[in-house]
Amino acid sequence: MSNAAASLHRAYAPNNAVAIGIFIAFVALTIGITVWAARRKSSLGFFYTAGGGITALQNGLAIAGDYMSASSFLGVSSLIYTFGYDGLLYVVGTIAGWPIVMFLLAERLRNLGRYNAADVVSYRLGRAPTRVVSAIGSLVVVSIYLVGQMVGAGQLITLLFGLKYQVAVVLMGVLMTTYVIFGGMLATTWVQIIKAVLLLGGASFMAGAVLSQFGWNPLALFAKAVEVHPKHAAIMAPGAFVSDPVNTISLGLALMFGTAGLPHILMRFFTVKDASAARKSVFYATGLIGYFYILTFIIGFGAIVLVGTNPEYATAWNGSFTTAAGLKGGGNMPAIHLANAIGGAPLFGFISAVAFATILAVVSGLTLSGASAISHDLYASVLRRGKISDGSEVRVSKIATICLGVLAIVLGVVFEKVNVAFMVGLAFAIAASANFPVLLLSMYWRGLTTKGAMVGGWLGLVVAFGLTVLSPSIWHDVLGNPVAIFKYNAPALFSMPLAFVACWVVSLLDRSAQGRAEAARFETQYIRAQTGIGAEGASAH
Amino acid sequence: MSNGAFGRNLGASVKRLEGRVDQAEVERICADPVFERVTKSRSVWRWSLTAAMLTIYFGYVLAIAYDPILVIGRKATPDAHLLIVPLLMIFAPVALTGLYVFKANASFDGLAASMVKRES
Repeated sequence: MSNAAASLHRAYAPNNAVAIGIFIAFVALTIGITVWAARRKSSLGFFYTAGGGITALQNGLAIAGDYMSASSFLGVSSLIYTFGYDGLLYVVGTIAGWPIVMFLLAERLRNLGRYNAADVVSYRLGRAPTRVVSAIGSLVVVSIYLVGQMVGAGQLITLLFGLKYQVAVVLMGVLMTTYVIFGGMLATTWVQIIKAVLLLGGASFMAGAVLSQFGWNPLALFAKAVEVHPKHAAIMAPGAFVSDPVNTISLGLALMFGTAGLPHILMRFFTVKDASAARKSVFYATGLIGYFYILTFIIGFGAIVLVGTNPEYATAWNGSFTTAAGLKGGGNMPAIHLANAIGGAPLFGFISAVAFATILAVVSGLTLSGASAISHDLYASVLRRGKISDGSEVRVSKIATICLGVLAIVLGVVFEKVNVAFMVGLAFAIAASANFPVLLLSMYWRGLTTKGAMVGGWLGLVVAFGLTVLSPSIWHDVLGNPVAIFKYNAPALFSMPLAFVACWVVSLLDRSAQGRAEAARFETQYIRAQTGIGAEGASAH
Repeated sequence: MSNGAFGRNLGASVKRLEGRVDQAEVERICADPVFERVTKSRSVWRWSLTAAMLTIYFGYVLAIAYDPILVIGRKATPDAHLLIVPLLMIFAPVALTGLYVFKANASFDGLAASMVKRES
């Protein structure tokens, strides 16, 4: 355990009982749900999509839950704590992607696909090559996102519960694998819904408690924050992001279109009964996420006033204000300390447990979507050419889940020192560059051929990844080279248009009979996408 | 799916079409005036709202990146009123998705249902 962790653990040792108690209650409840879900009939559709029986509101909560990861709660409140206004720019970018998901994807995905987005891409294109590129794109995004979440969870548990990092990561891996294997999508969805309600409830209470200290007047809170923050009035205006416009725009693109390529989010549109419910669930999710970010915003400014000026939370008190890095437990702690500052041990315990539950729910959804890429796309559709019984596909997906659980634990331990926010940014960039262009064009452009989709998808994946390796944050900071070959940290501005252009040019040059046949199938796909007739319905359960 | 007799017929047509491309069948469905109206109207809404979101978001990001005066104003010390802009930026996606759901529930779904009813 690091010094910061040890000091935090000492500081909060008497309070840990509450956190541990609430967390154990959460685990007991979710295991109970998993047992309940496991007793329902165990078909393939049930495993991947909960039989299509989730309502729009439930799905909206689950989507919001998938999106409200620990990095958006702890990370964003910490960004606001440090930068004020600039922290909000990140929030604005992530929420701006949701209308795109609704207008362009949600309804058509539900009408065309069965279990995941690769079903949609391979609807009229060559099965094997498009399944492979979709599955690999999904697996890369899932793995990177998973590592980010595992590392974040490990660090958090180490800090809050005093467990060893490795123990914490193994605990996460075992719990998420249990939910997915025994409860499939139904249990994963309910874990996510419960966590979303807990997180929204906890954050609402915290924001309310902060505002109540300022006579329910947000302007009084902001005035006090400006007074105590070392940057003073600068926290009320954009600052750091102005310095590099290209990087800002590139990050904005990745945040906006990455959402539309995240496999664990896209998979949720197959859990509702029809396109109308898919569309409504995005509206609920967007509203909930917007509300959550407004709470985070108040929490961030509340922490400036109530945590930054309190010597109790500083590793070394400088007499005026503690920066995020100088807080006990490190840079991600403003929201956690704020819970203690306003609600003492019970609220601190509650928020800590909720933060842990948040990560657990997110990694479960990620694992399930990764498992479907392995079992449904790579194994059942490509290797066995669709000639496989539902029962054996379920078996393969459970084996895949265990493998992903082990992989997540190993990667979580290996990448202990990785920057969590960076991993999440990379996952978004790849999702926007590899998954999104192929998915969008397959549904909207009749001219897209298998060759075009393959070249575009692989190029987006390789270029987004390659540019990240050559960027300052890896080439310079991690690999220790003097100057980065690619000067921006965010690759999407270059890799995403490149993927679109490659899909387009290669499809135009593709004069094969196969390409013509694929274009000819577009109208049939179009009719089904528009009407939903022929779409997979909800199975009774 | 419970789209009535028409739904079943069209469903069967689509299933047949998935096997071999029957141009006449495709053209018959695509030429249906209600189908045309629903798809066209939905397409106009979908792309206009997408364009609106992209304009709002990238307009904001570009303003911050290249001409912060547009966002900050000319005041010497920024104050809390500037936070209204990012708050509106959080509200805009909620409003736009709400608008699309309202329009789709009120119009597209009804038109599609009327098409099903008329044909059955």
